[in-house]
Amino acid sequence: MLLENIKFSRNRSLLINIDRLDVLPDRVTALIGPNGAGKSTLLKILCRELREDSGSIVFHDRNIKDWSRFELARHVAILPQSSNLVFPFTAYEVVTLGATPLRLTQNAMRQMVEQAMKNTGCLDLKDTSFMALSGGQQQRVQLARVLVQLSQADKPPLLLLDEPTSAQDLAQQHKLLEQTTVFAKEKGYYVVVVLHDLNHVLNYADDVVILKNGSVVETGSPDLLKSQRILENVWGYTPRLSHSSNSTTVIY
Amino acid sequence: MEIASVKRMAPSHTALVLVLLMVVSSLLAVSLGPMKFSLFNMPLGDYEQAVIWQLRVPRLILALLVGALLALCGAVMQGLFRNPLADPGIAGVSTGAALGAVLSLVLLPAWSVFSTPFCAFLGGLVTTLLVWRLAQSPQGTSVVMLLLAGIAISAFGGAVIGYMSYVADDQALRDISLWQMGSLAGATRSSTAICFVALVILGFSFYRYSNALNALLLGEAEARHLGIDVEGMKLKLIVLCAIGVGVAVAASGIIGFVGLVVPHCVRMLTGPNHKTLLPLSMLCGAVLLSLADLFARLWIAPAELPIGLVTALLGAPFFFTLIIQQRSRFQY
Repeated sequence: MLLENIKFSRNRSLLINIDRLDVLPDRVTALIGPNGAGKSTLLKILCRELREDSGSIVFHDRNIKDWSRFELARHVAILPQSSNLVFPFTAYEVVTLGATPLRLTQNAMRQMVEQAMKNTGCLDLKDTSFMALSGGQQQRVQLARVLVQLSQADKPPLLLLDEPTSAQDLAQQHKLLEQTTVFAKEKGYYVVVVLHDLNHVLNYADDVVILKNGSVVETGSPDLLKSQRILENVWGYTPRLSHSSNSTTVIY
Repeated sequence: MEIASVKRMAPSHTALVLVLLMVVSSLLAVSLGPMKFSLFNMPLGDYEQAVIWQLRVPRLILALLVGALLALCGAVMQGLFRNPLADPGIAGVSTGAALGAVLSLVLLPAWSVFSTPFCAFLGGLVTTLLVWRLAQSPQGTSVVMLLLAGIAISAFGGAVIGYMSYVADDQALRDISLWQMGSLAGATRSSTAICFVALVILGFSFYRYSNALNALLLGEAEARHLGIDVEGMKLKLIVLCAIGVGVAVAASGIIGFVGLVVPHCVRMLTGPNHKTLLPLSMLCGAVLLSLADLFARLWIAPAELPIGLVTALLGAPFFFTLIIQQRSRFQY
């Protein structure tokens, strides 16, 4: 997926200004940067919630503008940061909503939904009211919903995750991120994830894209984050270094 | 921490119970009244036949149709506004429709068979769009704005209808008071037929949107990501709701709270899935309104209560408890 000359402004301030950004399949791409860098805005542009003012996003050799609503729904999905459901659906019903753009028989749908819930570790919550769940549990249910949504893509789909670890406990954070690497590695998804915890980036991301003031300042491997210069330039943070006998570790 | 599973009734069982209730309430509505018939006391004389076929049956059919229409529109509006407090009466749509109906009655008396439902629809549509515009905020639909807009529109509409009743002649005055409190006594073939056609069209059109309405409960952005043309759907459903409410109001005046109470009860019984919510709300609304009308006819027989009074007596306490439940979620 290639983004070129993307510009997006609101109220006369340029929020996104990206010359060129290539996102690859089979890999987890971490989108990082300080608050207000434009990470969420960029995600919203990628999932077509917002439209760029100019520039082009080419996904599977076609400008994303030319994709129909249904094609987009089956190939691009986003896990929102929080959910705001108004009526008491069960967790299971929320996951079935992922099948809205799909054509499935009842049976196929049930299997797919249960599989997705198993993969994200929320099958035991199946019959509980979604609104009664904790933020972290809700997010896992939503992830299952998003996976159902992408399950019938003809070409490798794009999975966007907006700070998926923010509401999870320690073990669940790692489980969820491991899950996303599985989708990238085994199913060939394009995975773009907004993360704040740089330890997670080092552990799970294959590529990093560092945003600041709406522009891409660095792209490359997560090892970029070991550079003191980048941390200072981008976040204005001087990392402490932990020295042991034969190595130096950065403490974020 | 163990979270309890959601307990629900099977939709098919609920439907069966509602159909049985509808049969019972229909039989009661036909046989009870100032003149009582026993089902076992056949055959009936000409006079009894006339009472049944010319008064009670048409009225019963209108009650069933209007109840189904109001409950259906209430369920769809709650889904669209993503709020359980949205109801044609509370949001001011019924008042807008009544205002349209009254204006047409006073200004175009000769054409009232068709102009009244049409003007009621126009009045309903204008108010729905107005309320919609006012209640939309970047965070979603604002409950407070929704209710305030409803109050403002009801006050304005009530005032204009009140003024009309001062300048109207005797016949028009009677019709106007009917619209303010609701009555099914004016059941005619044409109003029943219009309600029937509207119910069939709306029932099928809304049902086609039930998946989309379900997705909308996740949020507008989420629904869009699931491939739904949210803007187009909203506009269509708003127009259809205004048609439904307009037709119901033109036939029977303002009957409040049916659209609020019924979908809420059905949701508690069988869950919020619109695939089952919409048809079951229609059934339940029909049952509720036919029972309310029975009550309105019998309470001070041989005189009658306006049916809007009965539904308000039932619905207002219910509305109150709903507000208390919602209190924590109000945003100021």
